[in-house]
Amino acid sequence: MTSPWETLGIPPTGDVRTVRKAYARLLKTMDPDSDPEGFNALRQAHDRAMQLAELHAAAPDEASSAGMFGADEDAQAPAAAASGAQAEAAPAPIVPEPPRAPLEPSEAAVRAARNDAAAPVTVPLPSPPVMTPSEDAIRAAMDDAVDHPAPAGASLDRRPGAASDAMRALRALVFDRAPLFSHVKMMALVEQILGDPAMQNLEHAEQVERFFADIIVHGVPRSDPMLDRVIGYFHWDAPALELRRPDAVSWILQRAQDRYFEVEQRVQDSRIHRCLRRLREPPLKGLSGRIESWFAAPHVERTILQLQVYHPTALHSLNQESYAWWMRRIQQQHDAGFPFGVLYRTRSDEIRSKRIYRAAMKSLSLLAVPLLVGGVYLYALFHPLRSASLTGEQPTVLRPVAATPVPPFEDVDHDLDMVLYQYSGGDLTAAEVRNVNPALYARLTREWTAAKGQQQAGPAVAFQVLMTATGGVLRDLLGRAVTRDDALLLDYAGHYESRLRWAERASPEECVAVLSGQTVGTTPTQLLVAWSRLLTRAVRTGTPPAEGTWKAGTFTAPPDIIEDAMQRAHLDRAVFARAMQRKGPAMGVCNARIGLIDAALVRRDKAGLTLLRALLGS
Amino acid sequence: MALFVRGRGGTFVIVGIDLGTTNSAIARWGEGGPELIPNSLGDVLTPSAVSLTEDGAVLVGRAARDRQPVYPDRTATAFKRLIGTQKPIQLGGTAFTAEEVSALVLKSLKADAERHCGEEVTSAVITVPAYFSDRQRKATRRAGELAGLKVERLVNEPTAAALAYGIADREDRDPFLVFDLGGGTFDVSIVEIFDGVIEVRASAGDNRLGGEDFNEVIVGIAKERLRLPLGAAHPKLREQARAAAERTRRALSEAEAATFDIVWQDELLSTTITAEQFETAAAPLLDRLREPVLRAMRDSNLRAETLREIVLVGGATRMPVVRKAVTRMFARFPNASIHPDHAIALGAAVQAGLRERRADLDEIRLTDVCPFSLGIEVMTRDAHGRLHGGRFAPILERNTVLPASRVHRFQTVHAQQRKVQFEIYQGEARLVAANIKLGEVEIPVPPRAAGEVMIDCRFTYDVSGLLEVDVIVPETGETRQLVIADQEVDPGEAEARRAALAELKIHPRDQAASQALIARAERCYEAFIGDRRATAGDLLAHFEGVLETQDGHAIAEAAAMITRKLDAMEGERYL
Repeated sequence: MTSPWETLGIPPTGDVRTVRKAYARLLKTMDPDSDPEGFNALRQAHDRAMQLAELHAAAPDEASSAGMFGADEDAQAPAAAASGAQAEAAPAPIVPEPPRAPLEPSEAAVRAARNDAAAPVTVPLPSPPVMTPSEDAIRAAMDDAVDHPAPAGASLDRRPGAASDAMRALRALVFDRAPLFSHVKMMALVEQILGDPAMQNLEHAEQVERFFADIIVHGVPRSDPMLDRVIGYFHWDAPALELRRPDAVSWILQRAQDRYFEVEQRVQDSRIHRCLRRLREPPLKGLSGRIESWFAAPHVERTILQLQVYHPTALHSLNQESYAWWMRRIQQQHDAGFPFGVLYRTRSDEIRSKRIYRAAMKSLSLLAVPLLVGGVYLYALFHPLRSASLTGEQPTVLRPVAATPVPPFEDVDHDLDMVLYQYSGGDLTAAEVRNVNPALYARLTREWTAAKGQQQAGPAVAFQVLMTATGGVLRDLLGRAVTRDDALLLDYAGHYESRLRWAERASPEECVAVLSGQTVGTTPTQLLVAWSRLLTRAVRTGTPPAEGTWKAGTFTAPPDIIEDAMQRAHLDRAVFARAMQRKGPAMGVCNARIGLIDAALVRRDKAGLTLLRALLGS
Repeated sequence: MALFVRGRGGTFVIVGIDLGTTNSAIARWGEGGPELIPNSLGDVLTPSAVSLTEDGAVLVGRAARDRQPVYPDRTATAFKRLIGTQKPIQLGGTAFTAEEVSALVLKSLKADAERHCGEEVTSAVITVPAYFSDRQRKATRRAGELAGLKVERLVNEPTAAALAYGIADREDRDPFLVFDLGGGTFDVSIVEIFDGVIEVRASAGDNRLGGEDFNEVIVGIAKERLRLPLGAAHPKLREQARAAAERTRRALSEAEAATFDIVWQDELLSTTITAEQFETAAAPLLDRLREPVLRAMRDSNLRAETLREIVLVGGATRMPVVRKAVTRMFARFPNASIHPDHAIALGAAVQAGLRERRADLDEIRLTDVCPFSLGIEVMTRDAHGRLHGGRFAPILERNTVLPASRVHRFQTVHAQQRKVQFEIYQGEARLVAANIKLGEVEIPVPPRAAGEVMIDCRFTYDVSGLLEVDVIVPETGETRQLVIADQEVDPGEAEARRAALAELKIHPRDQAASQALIARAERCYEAFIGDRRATAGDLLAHFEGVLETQDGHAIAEAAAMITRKLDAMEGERYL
């Protein structure tokens, strides 16, 4: 093949203009229409020379200025290997070190965040898998948003400041571990950035596009909630761009698919799901862990293999410690001496060579018979909790699946959604609470942070702490809300009375326990539903929660109500007075309180309401 | 379209044609520059409309378009959108294809050029949207042939516009973007000019986006407000609504609000549409303008701020909403200095001048690109060794400079395979199912083990954007060429169709002006009610009376008077 410089008749040069001039000169000596071969040769020489010249010109300074959509052009050039090779390495199926920030922020980062919450903390990012450094792209995007001059005379409503603030906040949200994370807040920021009128400007839109590609790639799995919106907005999945799709975009689309895979695995294939759950949980410990891993390792190995080949980005949402532990265990068992290594490899091959469910049936029939007799018993003895998780699916919260299953204490809104779901019967979401009752939201966020601090006892315990605390806050809130809302007060009173009557039917002692705020025995569904409706209504009144704890107050009742109550409770004055102070027989205490509420409730006048408020409000 | 006309000095006179969705124009390379040729009515734009009169004569141009609301079943417009398909166009009970109707327009333009130059015109170069597919290009070429023209070359419309723009001062220009939004198609090209070489760096487009779609938006608004029973049951109403929408849209280019008037069941329905309402309703269309622009910029590796300027071409870019959208996209005002309706025809004339090697164009060279990827369907082997069919293997990547020729080598999949089928596709999707199939070639191969037989597939794309596929088995020397079976017409049939077209009686040229006036008056009669309808009826009756006298002088006088009155009645006329 002749050198392009020979064809063009010029000495090798780094000057693009010289190449263009030579090409133009030669082109005029020929007619492309009648001499296509000659033109083809000239054109190829021109393209090659232009490439060489551009490389030559770019070599002294850095060649890394190519952005997201310049990447493939660069990759064709041999010398741009540095960025090109990295770009090509990204979609490879096996990601040895997934780009993931450590789960716990480093101390320095936490301190920095506390000192100056407004300034974004620079989290040391692992080497980018796809693109040029994120900092640069983000800064460029922001600078552009700030500096871009609005066209003179065009009535464009551009608020570049707002968009760049939102971008900064979004980056902080994804990368900084210290601030409270919330997908609702994230989506609000995404919408703010995408809804900015400045997005009509192509230059700005492209910068934002790069910003998002960058933040999504580096922020996995935290950035997952914005995937669909951003992919849809920028048409990244449009088939028209398929052949020239930048590696970063392919990676993001892969991630979007893998995320659904993770979500769907909850219901589709329980064996894979169980393996996935093992990989998401902390590594097993002790002897029981080793024994368990002996049985589970082939399946986990198979699952990891499947992930590596088909869902590479799903590896990022595993517990990395656990992942490494399992890999080590698998390796150890492969290398184990006779007979364990041979046995393991046989099982492993069996599972790998067949469809997974068939292999599962086979290994079940092989293993279950001896194990059913003694093994399961021993196994349960060693690790009763884990055996429960092996044999049965634990009921998951009935919540529409919006994104990746989020581990507790990662996403504040996600956790609050779960808690509120429990208390409101599915009516309240964290997003709604934030809108209708900001004070309550702030209070719950504080409870969440406090519970997060108790994680050393295990996430489940910490979550229970959060549940209890939230319950207290909500009950207290209801007490405060009824002092403002009469309709709510009457309904609450009716509900409280029914509750007392129900407890009384079981035993007077239980009723007294309910009176002192304890929950004992069972509660019928209707009452639970009514209770969650009351809590929901209370939250929606916008009443701020009280600081501190709930104290029972004193009250005075008008004499006519007392009379009525005494009659209803079938008690004489002395017993009634003692019962009001919770003295005397439990039956009397119960009846006195029920009678009083009853008497106040039927009046529905000002005095009655005042009494109820004093009784039930706080 | 270049028309080779032997002029007085023994040189070739060159003419170019823009075959548009709404309007067509014809131009030639004159003394020192391209110039437009007027039609029989004295206009340089001829509406792309064809109508068949009751006595079987063909009307082309303004007369045909004015007849559309009155005789929707005998008239065709916007047929460029159907070119390359076999969808029949009904003209008074006779079915035509889009290329046949286009041929009638080309024939009329050819007659105009012949009359203007005084010579016979035999060969041509036609402009097509850059994003036209191979099939649409071939159909356009056949339309030229049906009109009795040898189609020398097809030129992309934005390229033609860039030629007209760049030829004016012949200066070097940094890359600029041609934004061509016509009646039915949208194209974007990025063009650079250096040392007399006009180089198209990238093209992209949308074949189904143009002024007609914006008309539909207005019809949609009006339909909802006025509860118009639009549908197949009332073709007349639909055509009237379309014409009214066109009028409203043009008025909106000048004013902040415009009325949409339509007569339905002898009742005048009217609604006012503001520019803002229009912009809101047209937002989805405006959004579709972005994708091709982005793609062209990415393919040419350019950023918005490095573009020298944005050149607007095509009638629909007159709309303020489009200009606003462009201004927002690039954060600067576009260049609207060239005539949006004339530029493409003028550029075609320049190309024609190049084609016949005029001395004053000796220093100019034009290179164009193919705007889409072309390739074949292949099977691929995955990591597990399984075969997956239906994958697209591009051979010519999009935005390859033309003419281009590329060979890729493929191998057989199965052992003892006797033949290999190559299916040719156009598109950008990874799976062929999402791309457009252009044709297929089958070639016999010697039976061997899988993967042992090599087959070379060569794609040759010429400057007109027409594709040739050659498949060669080097081992046996067997070769095959692409045959597009469902589109290719056998020569006998082509001859028959040409003869059938030739038999159609073209309305006499010298009566064209009268015909156009009658069509217009009839349209006015339908479009108005009350006094104005009565006036239009009176004028029509008067003019028909004068025509019967066959007194040339009186006819001309009456025509002038009626045109004046109709102008006053209708407001401004549009083309």
